[in-house]
Amino acid sequence: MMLKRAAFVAVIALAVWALWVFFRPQAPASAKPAATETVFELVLAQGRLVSGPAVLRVHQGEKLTVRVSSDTADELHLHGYDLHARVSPEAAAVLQFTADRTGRFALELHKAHRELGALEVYPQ
Amino acid sequence: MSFKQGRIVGAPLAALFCSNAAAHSFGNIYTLPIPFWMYAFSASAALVLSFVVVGYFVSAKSAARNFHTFDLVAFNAGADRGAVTALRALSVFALLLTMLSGLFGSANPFTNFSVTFFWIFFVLGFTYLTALVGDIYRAINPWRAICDWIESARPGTFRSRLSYPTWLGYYPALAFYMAFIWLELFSHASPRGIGLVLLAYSAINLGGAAAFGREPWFKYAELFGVLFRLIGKIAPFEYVASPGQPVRIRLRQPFVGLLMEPADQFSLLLLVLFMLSSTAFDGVHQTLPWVSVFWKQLYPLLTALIDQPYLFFVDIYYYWQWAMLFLSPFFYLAIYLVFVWLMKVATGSQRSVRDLALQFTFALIPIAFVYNVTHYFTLLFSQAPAVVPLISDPFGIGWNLFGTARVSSPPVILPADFVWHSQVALILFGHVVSVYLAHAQALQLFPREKQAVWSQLPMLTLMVLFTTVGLWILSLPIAGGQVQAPGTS
Repeated sequence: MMLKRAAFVAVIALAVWALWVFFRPQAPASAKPAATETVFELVLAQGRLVSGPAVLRVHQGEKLTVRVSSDTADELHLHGYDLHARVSPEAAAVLQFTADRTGRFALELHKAHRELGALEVYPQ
Repeated sequence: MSFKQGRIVGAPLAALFCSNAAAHSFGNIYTLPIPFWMYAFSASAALVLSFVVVGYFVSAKSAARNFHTFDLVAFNAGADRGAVTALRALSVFALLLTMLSGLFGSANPFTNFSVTFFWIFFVLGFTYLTALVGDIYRAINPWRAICDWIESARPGTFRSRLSYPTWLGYYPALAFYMAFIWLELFSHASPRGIGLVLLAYSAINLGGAAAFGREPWFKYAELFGVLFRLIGKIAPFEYVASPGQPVRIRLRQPFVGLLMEPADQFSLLLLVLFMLSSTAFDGVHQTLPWVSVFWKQLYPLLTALIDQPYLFFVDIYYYWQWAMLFLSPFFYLAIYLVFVWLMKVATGSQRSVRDLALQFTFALIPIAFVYNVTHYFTLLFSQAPAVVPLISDPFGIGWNLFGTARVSSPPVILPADFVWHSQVALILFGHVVSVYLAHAQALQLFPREKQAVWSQLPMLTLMVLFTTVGLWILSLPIAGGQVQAPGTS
């Protein structure tokens, strides 16, 4: 019985490993060099995104500049990285940082309680 | 957004479909959708492993019957009452602190103990603890403890005045479960909201126990008692208390507790299906494909039929989301019953579809449980550290009871690839366990082994379906701000 159980676990492990080898991508995902600097320009009107991507997709380690201009005053908050910046009709908000944490992080307008979009940082 | 605002659908909800996408009442989940290749791998692995499990049973026919349990410790409940009383007191204290800090503490959810403690420690942490150590909640249920204390002070308070109707079954618990998930997903409950809900739920529990008696109320109607009893069946520990006997802690193989008895009521089957469907709904309800169904498919049709401003449809969208949540267990039930009927046909069994459906109910719990863990376990890391400062200042009013009020406790954000791998591994593990349990159950129900194997083809297909849908949902892109209000994109 013990032998059967051991064989059972071994068959499961082998099947999972074989499928893993079959499905996993041959080359690592198109990782950009860490030195790349990516700039995103977002434009808000009445607290809504009218220009620029709603999802900022980058790879871990990339340097980012997110420039947000708006016709209303509010506070911008990038969750997870916990970055805040004031935005007003007079001055654009600029967030500059390195995307060292992976995951999906909401970009929110605090006063309007509105999610403008999200930063998606993928592993290298 | 406050709890009250969440209940009144109106201006604050305007265009909410493009706001607060990943937010729950308990905070933000930072996970990324799993990559497509990982979805393809795990869906195929689920299928292949299912057949490996069935093959194992064909070759090791008696495997299912070898479930050993043995006594680990037997302790005299009378002599050890001190420890249980202390735990019950702690549990009531935690309930009161959560309720009072919610009602009277800071309105900021990040500086109020109630939000983190209720959602992260009780709802998530205690559920996972129960899966490891068994149903200890039964002994320390705070509402039950309060009832017992009142009963010893005023005997007869909880004598059953009405007999608990058999037809009512677990429906009260299911109704509380639906309300609870609604609160989690749609209310963005403030600390005060949590305080009020706990106050109302406490009043309902005391009233219910006074009307129907403590035993039936806490067995069938108190939601957390029912949920933790189900989850506790996973654990390798069982607590056996019989009148006049010492309490025994029994050790058993993990998960075999799910095979010890069938579901006793149809309403319990619905509750288990809601475990599965509510997590699936939570996973899907803010993804791009789901959000697009309403705003790209239904919205143009509705505007052609009804001449109303855009905000009217935002309200309709909310009702649509709520309706889908509440209907989700019935949708799962329909699918489940079709496959159980196919199993009946495949085996030529004399048992009714209802009976068979109840016999296999608990085999679905591992799939439902791992699905819950994959969705929420990252929150334990990202939100739980916040309790360090909160414990010193639970009301958020400047106390520093233990000197930790100003300790920095940044969220632990787990690397995305680690999260993906653990999600896929957990889902496959839960799937294999469910298939294994279903087959073990089939061997007990169907005397002829050939019949048992045939019975598993529909059950296997159903479980592969549930698992694949779960994985697929994990791989969907999240909508966030991508679906814009008409006229602004």
